[in-house]
Amino acid sequence: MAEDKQGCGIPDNESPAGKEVSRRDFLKMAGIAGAAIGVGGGLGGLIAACGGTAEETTTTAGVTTTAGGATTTTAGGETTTTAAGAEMGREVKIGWVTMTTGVFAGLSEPDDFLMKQAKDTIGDGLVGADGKKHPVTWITKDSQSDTNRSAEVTGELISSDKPDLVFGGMTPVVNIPVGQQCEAAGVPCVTYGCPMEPWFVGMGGNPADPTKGFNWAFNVFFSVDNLNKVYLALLNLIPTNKKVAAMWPNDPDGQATADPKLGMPPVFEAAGYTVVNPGLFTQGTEDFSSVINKFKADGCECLVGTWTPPDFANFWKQCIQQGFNPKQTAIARAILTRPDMDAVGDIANGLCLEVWWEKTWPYKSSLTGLTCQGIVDAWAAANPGPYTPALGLTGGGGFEVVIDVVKRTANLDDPASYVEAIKATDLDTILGHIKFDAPFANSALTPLVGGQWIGKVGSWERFVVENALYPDIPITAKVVDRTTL
Amino acid sequence: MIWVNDIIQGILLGGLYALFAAGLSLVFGVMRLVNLAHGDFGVMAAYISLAIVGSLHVNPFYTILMVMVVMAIFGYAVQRGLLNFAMDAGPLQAILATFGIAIIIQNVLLERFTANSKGLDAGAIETAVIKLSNQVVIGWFPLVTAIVSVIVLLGLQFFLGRTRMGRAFRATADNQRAAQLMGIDNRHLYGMAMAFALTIVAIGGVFIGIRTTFNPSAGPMRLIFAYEAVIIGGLGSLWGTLVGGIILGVAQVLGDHAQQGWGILVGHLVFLALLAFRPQGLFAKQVQ
Repeated sequence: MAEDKQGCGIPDNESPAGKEVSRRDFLKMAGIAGAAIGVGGGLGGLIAACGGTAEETTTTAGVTTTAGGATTTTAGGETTTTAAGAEMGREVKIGWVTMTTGVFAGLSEPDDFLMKQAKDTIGDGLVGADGKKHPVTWITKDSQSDTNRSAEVTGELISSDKPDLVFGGMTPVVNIPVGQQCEAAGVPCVTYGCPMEPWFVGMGGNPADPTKGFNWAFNVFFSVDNLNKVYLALLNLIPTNKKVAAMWPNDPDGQATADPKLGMPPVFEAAGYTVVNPGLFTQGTEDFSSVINKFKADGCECLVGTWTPPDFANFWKQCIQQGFNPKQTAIARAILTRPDMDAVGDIANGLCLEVWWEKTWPYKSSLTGLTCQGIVDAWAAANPGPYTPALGLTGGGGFEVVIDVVKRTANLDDPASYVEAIKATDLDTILGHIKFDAPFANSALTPLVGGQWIGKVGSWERFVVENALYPDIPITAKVVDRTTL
Repeated sequence: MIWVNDIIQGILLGGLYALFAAGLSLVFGVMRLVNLAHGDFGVMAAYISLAIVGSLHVNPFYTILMVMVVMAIFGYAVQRGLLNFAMDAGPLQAILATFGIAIIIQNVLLERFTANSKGLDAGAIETAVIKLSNQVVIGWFPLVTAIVSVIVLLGLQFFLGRTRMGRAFRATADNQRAAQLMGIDNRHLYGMAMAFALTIVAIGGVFIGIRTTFNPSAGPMRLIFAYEAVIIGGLGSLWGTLVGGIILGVAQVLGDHAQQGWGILVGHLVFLALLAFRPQGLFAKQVQ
């Protein structure tokens, strides 16, 4: 309902390279024309309200109309007027597409904190490769956790704000449309938080030819291959009868995971597990009793799957009610954060999951020099709530990478030069070492380990219990059979 | 025996749907208003309960009365302050106004409570069960939900059938102009109808909050099932709503039994089939 189906009259965003004046541009022009003659302020305001974007910088309307069909986006002639001293260089504009609202808004909780941290650290400018100091302007756009909206705001960002560099995240919902828009418009782009394979395929890459990448778009996160390995390692930690109950949703993510040839089942089966997959479930299902009874009848002792938080809370309560009590679990997506765990309640104690960032990781920020624990402490000092792992992902995979890229870009007027700098990235961040040398082109792999939630409502702690892929990340607790808790 | 268990779970689920849908049915029956914000009102009730639980540290069951009062006042105010005017302008305007309210509620909740999933913790009853056999297990909480749903509908029927205001509700539902000529203040009456509807949805909202987790954008999904329950049962018919909820619930569970993932689809298909072959619903009072 929060999508753009509210009759705002904004059509799907077409490729910004299109030459025609789109209906949105027409509306904008109408709004501006109206404003010019002094009666359309309301209309312009209405259009802005429909857009619902939270922008940190104000955009002048005059630029917007002329940029509708522009193919080149970084205007070389557009120099900033704020340059004062001799050492000041041109302003660098960085566009950021995040998920301020919508279903994934919880993952953007650290956004304001990280933005402030970045601004405080940069101060009045970044010293670039040319030795000059470049002020940085950040332009934030809200994707509303929606694919169409992500494409639309990215198109808008590119055409009206002309950023030198775009970054954004997370999940396929944001990263793929943002990447596609930047690819079409020729804007350097780094996204964080979408697993490597779905991102590569979603961007139009051919998985059979993983070395053939893209010109402008890059992505930072773990790979599904590693995720499968971590899940298998988690199941191996507890002796069971090796029968796995699998629950995957009927969405692109679930379909890919459940694929009998390329997904998770063959990985488990190769290790001697039997996967009981009753079929993909529909999100929003209220009653899971029949499938739970199937798992019981088959004697499953492990549970693996992907849920939204409400679906999982529903499913898990019904598991307990119906007497399905697996010894070991690997739960994707539903229990990422402490609030998620609180919402499920004490029955969530001992559940296991993949960990893509945690405060105990042994890394340091290239931006602030803070350790993982240090950043969590800084967050805790400034915010009342518990931290989420997005703190490390957005901070390390997002801000640290783009700031480092700007510092190393040889010619800040040339988009290709930014891409050269992205390709040459070799940076230790709070999210681990970032280098775009993953098996799939244009991708940087970040660490992934296995974790277990222990505690109760209000005091959950997520321990790293498995680290086979990244042994430099310390194990912080021994795994516990959840049926003994 | 798995079939038996499935049907029982479906019936209990139907109770939940009916509890959520009763208010929708009432509002449509009395003032012919399609309330698109109904699901969001329910989620709002869950958040109010959450806020009370947070400050008083009580079991969410004890908050229901307070939530009902808050929602009733809110409903009356919204109806008198906004929706009555929108309804004067026309039925389309009224629908759009409820849609606007839905968006406002979602965003206010997002501002106030963040997008994180929340849950109401009712303690042991959430997972307590009556075990009839290894395969037939009835959860206490779904059972209580269904029983409360029946009690609410009984109470509502008593109210509509036996009280002065209930008669005024029915009179207005039958013929608004004639009722007005008889001295019924329909603006106040509509306010009361919305207050009653939100009182009921307050109960539904708290129960859903206990049953699963919720977030500010959870309302619209609730609205769809509630609508289907109302339409299957017949617009304006309270017991029809209960039957509609049960049909929907059983259809979903059996659909998932036949093939995991089909449940919601089968529910929608049953709804569509009814709409095609019996558009007035199973228990509609008037056939137009």
